Amino acid sequence: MSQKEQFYYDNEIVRKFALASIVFGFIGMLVGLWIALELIFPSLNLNLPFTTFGRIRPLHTNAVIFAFVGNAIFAGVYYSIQRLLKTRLFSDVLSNIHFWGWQLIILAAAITLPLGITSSYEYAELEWPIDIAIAVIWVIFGINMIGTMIKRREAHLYVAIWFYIATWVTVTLLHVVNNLEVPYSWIKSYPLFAGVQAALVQWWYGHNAVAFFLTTPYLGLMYYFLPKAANRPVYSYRLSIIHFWSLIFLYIWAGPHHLLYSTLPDWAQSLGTVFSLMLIAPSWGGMLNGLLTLRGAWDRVANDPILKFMVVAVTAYGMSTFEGPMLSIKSINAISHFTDWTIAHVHIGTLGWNGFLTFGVFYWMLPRIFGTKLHSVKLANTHFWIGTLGILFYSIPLYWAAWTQNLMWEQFTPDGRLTHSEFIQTVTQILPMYRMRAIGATLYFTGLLIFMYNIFVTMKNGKIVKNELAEAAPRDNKKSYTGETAHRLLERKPIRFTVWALVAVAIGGMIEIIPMLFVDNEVPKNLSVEPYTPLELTGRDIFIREGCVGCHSQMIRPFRSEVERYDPDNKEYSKSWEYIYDRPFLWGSKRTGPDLHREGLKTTGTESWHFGHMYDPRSMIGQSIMPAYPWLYTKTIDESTLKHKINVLRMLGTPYPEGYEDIASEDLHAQAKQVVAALKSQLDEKDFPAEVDINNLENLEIIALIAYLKDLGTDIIPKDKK
Amino acid sequence: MYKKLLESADIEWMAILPLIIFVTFFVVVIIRVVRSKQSFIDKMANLPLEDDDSVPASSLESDN
Repeated sequence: MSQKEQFYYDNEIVRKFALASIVFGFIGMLVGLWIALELIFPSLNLNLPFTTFGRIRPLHTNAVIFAFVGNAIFAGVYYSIQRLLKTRLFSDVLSNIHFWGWQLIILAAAITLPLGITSSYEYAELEWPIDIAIAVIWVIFGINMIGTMIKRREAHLYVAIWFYIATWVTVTLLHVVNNLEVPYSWIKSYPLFAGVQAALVQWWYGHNAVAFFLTTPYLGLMYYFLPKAANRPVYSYRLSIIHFWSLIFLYIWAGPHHLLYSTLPDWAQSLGTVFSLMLIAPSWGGMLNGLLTLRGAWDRVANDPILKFMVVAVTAYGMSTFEGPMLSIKSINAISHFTDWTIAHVHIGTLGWNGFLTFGVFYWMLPRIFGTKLHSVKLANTHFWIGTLGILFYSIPLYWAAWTQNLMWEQFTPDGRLTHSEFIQTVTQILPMYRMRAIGATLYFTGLLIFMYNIFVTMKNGKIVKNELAEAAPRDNKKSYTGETAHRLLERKPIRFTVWALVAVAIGGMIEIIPMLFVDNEVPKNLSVEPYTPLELTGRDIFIREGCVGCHSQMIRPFRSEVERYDPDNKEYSKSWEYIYDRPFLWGSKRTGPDLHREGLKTTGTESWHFGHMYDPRSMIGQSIMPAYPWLYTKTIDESTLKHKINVLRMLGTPYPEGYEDIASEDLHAQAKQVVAALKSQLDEKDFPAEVDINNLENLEIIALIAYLKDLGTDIIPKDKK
Repeated sequence: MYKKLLESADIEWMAILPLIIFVTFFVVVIIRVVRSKQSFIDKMANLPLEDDDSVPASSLESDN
């Protein structure tokens, strides 16, 4: 037996990440509660651009995913790998660069998103300079983690560490591929892929952001902290190995289930469905492994709030991972997609699985690194019950709302008309559910406040053990490993392991995405598709800035109820060729308001209707819950980047003629004059709001937005009939 | 359309390859897992429990 060496665990970095997680969890959930209330009281946007739903919904999702959960991952990973590998972290400097870099990225997100600087891709909203910063900091995290593995004293890598490695590898791959974009200004860019391809890549990313940011690292945490809290080893280590390899192998394929009934080719949709269904097996294997770890210790669950949090977290994981595959079945997805079902589903995952596991881990870990006991078990129990009630009150009303609204969307009268022909009828019907959801959110948030109080008093009562003394025998590198199995050899070699994990996930990504690159030639071309005019393009970028896609889809599925509602004259559902110039694609994932893909063909969508509607939605639709956008009526169109936009889009394949960038501005104004003329013919001078400068109408942002809306879906009409 | 797509791009192998990879992969993982020694499995499973927590074993003993 070799002499034991003494060394110190770095608890300070764990404390920093944990604190950041708590603080940003507070902010992220507060914003979440705020937007839940905005859906009930639209005026809560305070008529300000920065606090309007479309802009702060991504702030909420980014804050809870990357700030609350992200920092919790780093805290948990850094706590557990030191102890599992019996060594201090690779480098204190890298740890600190990682910490401060990540917080700066969050700060940048918190500034840019309310300013409307967004790529509009869900969970990848941040723009290119921040994307680069994320890549750099993520690589630093990887070096620090793998470096720690290389200098470890423990010969073997425990399964939790495999999950951390897979997380790191896959997030790197996803982040890089999904953020391939060409800048047209120092802060804005257009994505490399357009239309259908963009959709596939985005949801390959989007689904795996859930898989490899919200799931695999948390499974790693589960495999470490649940045995710790229960003080017994995991139920089956063999099962955990199978859980790991099958999960990472299957997850990467499932993305297309976000695009069922869209214009994505059928083979890709089916691929997504099949792999999603298969995912039940490893997911439930993992859940059972977690729950069965508590065999013989269930009496303790009754008294120990930490175990209670973990049990509900693992159960929520089981529920979401059963529900997910079910939602991937086309007939169920037809109901769930675009409704609040999606919102309920993700919140079972985030509030239950991520939130409750975080609380459990922090209640267990933080008193230990502060050398003290938890301030109050009673308060932790209160937090548990109020939080659980919060999850129920949050999700059940939304499931109800989703079914109700979908049934209303699809209901026909005996003579074949839509029973609820006005979209708003289906919204007012579910408003009571939105109110109940807000109550659920408030309960959960109250639990968070109790948690914060309890943790902060605990910290005050103790003192951080910044460097915790530990001892272990050095790793014997010369020890002969002859006769060991291939897998044992593999998990002794972190770098080789990392490469194989990359291979495992890359195969799925490749086979899913490469054929799509050929689709470019397979998308039926239609000569009636025209690139956006400069004014429409400007309007589209305003549409993106305001986050309209958060509530309005642009994807009419091939259902009778949808073509009847959204394109009553032509009865045309959306076709893949209509999106060939869409950078970014704006299909959306939720219809809080109606689909807009045929908005340009609507008889109600006249210039004056949009003009009045965007200024005060309730003047047009009495019960509308859409926020007002008064700033569009005073802000003038920014033409400073127009040339660059045209150049970048041409480079990417939009057929603007050479030299068009020089006359784009003229075209923009010519078209704006037409919109203004139409508007003036429809409205009297006294109908314009007082702050609108009537003589300067053609330069206002609202004109560009109207031009864009008037163009939507018009490509479906053959050129000669336009 | 997918058939046309696969034919035109000569990527038929892509449809079969995943199946082969999966079956092989899972069979290998399961064989390895089943055949690994119980003593090794026990050692790995107990890794998280090896270090004693320097602070009180249960942080839940007191309640204010």
